[in-house]
Amino acid sequence: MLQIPPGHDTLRQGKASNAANSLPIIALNPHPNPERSCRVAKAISTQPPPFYVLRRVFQPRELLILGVFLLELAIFWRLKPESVSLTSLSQDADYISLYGIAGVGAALVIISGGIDLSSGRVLGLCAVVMGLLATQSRWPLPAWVCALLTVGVGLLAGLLNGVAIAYLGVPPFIVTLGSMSAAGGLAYLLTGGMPLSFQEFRPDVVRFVDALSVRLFEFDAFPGLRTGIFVMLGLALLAAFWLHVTPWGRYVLSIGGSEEASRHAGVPVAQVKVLVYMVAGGLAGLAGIFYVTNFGGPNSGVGAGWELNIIAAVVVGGVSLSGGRGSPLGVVIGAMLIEVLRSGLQHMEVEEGGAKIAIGLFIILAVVIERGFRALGARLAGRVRPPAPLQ
Amino acid sequence: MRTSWLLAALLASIPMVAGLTGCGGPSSSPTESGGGTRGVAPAAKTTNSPSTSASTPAPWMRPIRYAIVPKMLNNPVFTMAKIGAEQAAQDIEAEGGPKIEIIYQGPQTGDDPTEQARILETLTNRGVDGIALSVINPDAVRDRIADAKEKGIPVVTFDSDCPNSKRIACYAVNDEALGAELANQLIQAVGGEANMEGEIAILSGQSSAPNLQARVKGVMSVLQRFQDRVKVLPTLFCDDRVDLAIRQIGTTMNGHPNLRGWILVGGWPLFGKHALDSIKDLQRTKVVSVDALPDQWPYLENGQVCCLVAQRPFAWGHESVHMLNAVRRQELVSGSSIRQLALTPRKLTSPYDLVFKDPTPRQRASPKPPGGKVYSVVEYRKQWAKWLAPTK
Repeated sequence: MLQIPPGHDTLRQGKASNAANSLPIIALNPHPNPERSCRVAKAISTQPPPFYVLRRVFQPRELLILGVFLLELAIFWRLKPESVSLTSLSQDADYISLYGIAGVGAALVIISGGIDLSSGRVLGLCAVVMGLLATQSRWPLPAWVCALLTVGVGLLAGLLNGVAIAYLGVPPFIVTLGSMSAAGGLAYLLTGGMPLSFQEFRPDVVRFVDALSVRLFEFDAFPGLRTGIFVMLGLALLAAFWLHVTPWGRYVLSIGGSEEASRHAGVPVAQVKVLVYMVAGGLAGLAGIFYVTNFGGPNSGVGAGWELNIIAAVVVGGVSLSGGRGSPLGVVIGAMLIEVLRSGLQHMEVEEGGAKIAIGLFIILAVVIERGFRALGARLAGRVRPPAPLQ
Repeated sequence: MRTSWLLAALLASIPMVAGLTGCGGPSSSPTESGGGTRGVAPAAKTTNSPSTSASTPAPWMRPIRYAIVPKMLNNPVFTMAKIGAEQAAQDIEAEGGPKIEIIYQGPQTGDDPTEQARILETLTNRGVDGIALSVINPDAVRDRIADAKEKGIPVVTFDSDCPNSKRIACYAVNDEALGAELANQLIQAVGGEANMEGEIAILSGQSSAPNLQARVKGVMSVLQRFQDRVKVLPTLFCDDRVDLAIRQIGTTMNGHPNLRGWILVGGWPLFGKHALDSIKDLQRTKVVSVDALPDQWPYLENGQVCCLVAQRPFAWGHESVHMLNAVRRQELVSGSSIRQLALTPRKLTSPYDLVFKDPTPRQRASPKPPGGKVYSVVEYRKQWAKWLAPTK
């Protein structure tokens, strides 16, 4: 397979399909015009432009979403200043980190053209596993081993999802719907329906959990941020780099654009899909650990319905549900947008029903705006293409 | 207890013997009594015959299955109810009664009344011998309770009642009194009525739960006296979710940092970590809560909570099983099926206790709740261990 160095973005401009993002297609479809072909060869041989990696990782779409987030902060500052106070934002961060960490994984799945409805329940299952390992005294494993095993359960859940989707050909919606139910059932079986008490955690695990839930950058007016939010930011950066810069990340984008074209181009579609679902499962597992660190003893009901919050963060974060577009960094901002909105509405004493309606409308509006901007950008670039219908 | 079982068995055998000897009334006719109802069905007569009694257990000794259906599985309060039910089953068996199996089944989350109704329907179809239920939404289960009774399955409620239904009895705390107690404890915590001023927040679980509605009503009945100087914020509903409850407390504290007090009509936030970290001024903002489960004790010990008004969830399960068993005994004794029994619906009031970090002599001397006690955390820990001791 051809490996083409970065810096040839101009080549992709003329391609209709998102699969054109995948490099091997260029090799399979050489330009008929020899003169242009020379320019292609020249472009390939050039060095990457300055700040190439930064430009790939931080895309204009994320800046747009960040702008919306800042606008939201400004509006709430005007309406109810305490809703966006440092204290309030610090509290929101506890929830943002959970949805954000799981959302990064869910975003990779959606960018690859799939969907993961099981992320919330896998998060809950992993929280339960962490709680069980923390409370059992027959084999008192070190706390870090408990955490690794917890992430391992998430990876395993993702592996099963990925294998069923990539090798058995079952639609992702069906597979993850099934695994959502199965994960909830397993959490129930493991706990017997009983909540796990933080008071019964072994002392070494309590120390580990306390260390993970410590607040950093604490000062008088600011209660600080728990480690989860920094882990989330680090993971989002790492995932964005992986997605946009590394070959396997580009495969994910390529598969999301057109799976068929990617397959013809030699992209190892099945392996990439399995990898993406495993990453999503593993990150849901990690979010499960942070549930325990932030809120204490889990129960089998944790994560029920959270998949919708996670997918909402992904969509608001600019990830296209039809696949092939988006960035994990946008997901992080999407999670912030939704949680600050939720918190702001609570501060304004909007009733729960009204808040849910407002959040629902906001999600729809965010997608409409994102698609509007995308259509405008395409028109400005001279390649008008009607947006694909929402899946 | 053993003697009562023997008595029940003896009384139950009277109509059967009467049937065998041809002295029974109309119901003893084989053609009329084969309707599939339990109690004095012909099968009961045959099991009483010497040829079958050796292989088939007598009706009062056959294994029994009682179902405990909580509002939600993920609330540790209901875990205690299950433990109490299992303890009662062991007690009954130890006293010469039948072997009792406890089925513990309920919705995973507390916001799913339809799931609770479906579980009731399933249990009824499975033909369990009795159901004890904590009701999420009475309207959702009223017909299911009637169906169960129609099929000969007695239903009792605990914790949260289903008024105007065909349930046989209810074992629950007087929720309005409990709410009033919470408000009174808050008044004590702020230093008396003279210090009652400012804003007070109430956190509840499910908006549809009648027991929580009654507690809020009880709280309001006391706080009404201070309406000229106390503002009660709109009641918050956390859907029985720990994380949501913690968030609501945080959000409210941001908007109302000088809050005078929190009244938690259920213990949800205190089942999690860092629940009250958003309360910065513990001298100003006082917290009182329902329930006193182990997860809640640290909040009392570190001074974040002033008083825990402890229900007796262990007794919910324990008493429910005994009530169901009493009904079954009465069924056997009278020879009628449950749907024919003229049972008067009853409401049994459960006592509650007060738990303080270290109660002052005044708190110990103050009027105790009816049937309840005043404990320090240390004393309550010991009492808790006693309740759990037989199950370990």
